[in-house]
Amino acid sequence: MMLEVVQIIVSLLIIVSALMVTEVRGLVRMALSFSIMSALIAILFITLSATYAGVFQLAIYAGFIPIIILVTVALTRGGEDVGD
Amino acid sequence: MMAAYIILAVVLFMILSLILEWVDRKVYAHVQHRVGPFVAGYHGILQPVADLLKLMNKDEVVVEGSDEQLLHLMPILSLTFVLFSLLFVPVASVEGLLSFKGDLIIILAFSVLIHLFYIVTGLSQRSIFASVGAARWGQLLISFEIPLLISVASVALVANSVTLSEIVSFQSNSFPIILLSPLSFIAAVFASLAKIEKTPFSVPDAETEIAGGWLSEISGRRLAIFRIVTDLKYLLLSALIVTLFLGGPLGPTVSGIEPLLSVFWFLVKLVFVAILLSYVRGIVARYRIDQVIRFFWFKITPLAAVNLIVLIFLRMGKVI
Repeated sequence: MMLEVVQIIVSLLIIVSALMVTEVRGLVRMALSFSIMSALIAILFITLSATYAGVFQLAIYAGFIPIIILVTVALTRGGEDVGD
Repeated sequence: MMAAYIILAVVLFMILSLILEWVDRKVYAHVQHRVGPFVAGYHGILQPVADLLKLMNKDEVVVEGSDEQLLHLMPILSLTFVLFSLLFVPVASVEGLLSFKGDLIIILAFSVLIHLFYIVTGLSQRSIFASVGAARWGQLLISFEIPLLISVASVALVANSVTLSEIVSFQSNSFPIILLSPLSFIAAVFASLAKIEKTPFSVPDAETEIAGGWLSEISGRRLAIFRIVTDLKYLLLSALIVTLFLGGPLGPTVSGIEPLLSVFWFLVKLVFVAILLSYVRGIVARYRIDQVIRFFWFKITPLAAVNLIVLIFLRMGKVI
């Protein structure tokens, strides 16, 4: 019972953070929201007793993919956004 | 009861990390024929604490146009994650304070997440130096994470497990894993040096080129927290190398006081690895970013991969 409540709450939070990925202003915050969403999906996997799937979800989708997005942002950002 | 243990462990890890910073600075100074910190405490052992207190008292300056909420959040998040992953490291017994199936991967995932927070810190400041530093962090990350993961994979292959307590108990039943994977050990040492941005690979905060890099506009308490995070990361990676390759808290024991002797052996190995890291840092000069990537991709990654392939063949031939 308790586990089901946790799963429902986490699922709702996943939907909220997935909406945040599209709605939030700024690419840095977008990548962070994506990372939060992936971490929540990892929690959902772990509560569904798929520990390894959850751990790898955390490593790859919450860790590496946002970093690659952010590196792309940092390398392609023009002069208009950074400093003077 | 568990909460009390965790709070105690967090405090002890912080003290240990400050002592390790002193060891690092002392070894680094002696390699360069300097004396290093000498004033505060016995041979300057309180110098990291003094530096921390000085930074805590300073004003926080936030440049106009930078994302202040993220800048508040990131130091705290990185401190939380590094402390949480330290709780998995086995110190007093075969098992860490926290332990579950697959915790080795979760430690590696958290250490990547800390770098994500670093990059976000660099990108949310309104400074060209910080942006360049963040981009360099990303480039450094894709060069050193691959050999680190390959060397950890060879350890996991030998021990047939990705759980730290099982890896340590495997080593207590047979031998330290470094005997079977010496090349992975070398790769892990270099990757750890890059991970704590020590001198040969200190590209993201290169003071001479980009004025502190991703930390250039960070000051006051936030800088203090980031320094603690760097020290704790130094502790975490040394402890991880000790656990994975050198047998962690194992050593000759007398029955009756096993936990005490376990902590003693763990600290001896930890200081050995920390001195090794500082010594390597002291004797080499800093690489350019392209040289770092070339070094990791064409020298360290093949080194770790050769070790992994040999181990796979040994496993297929039922030798290990």
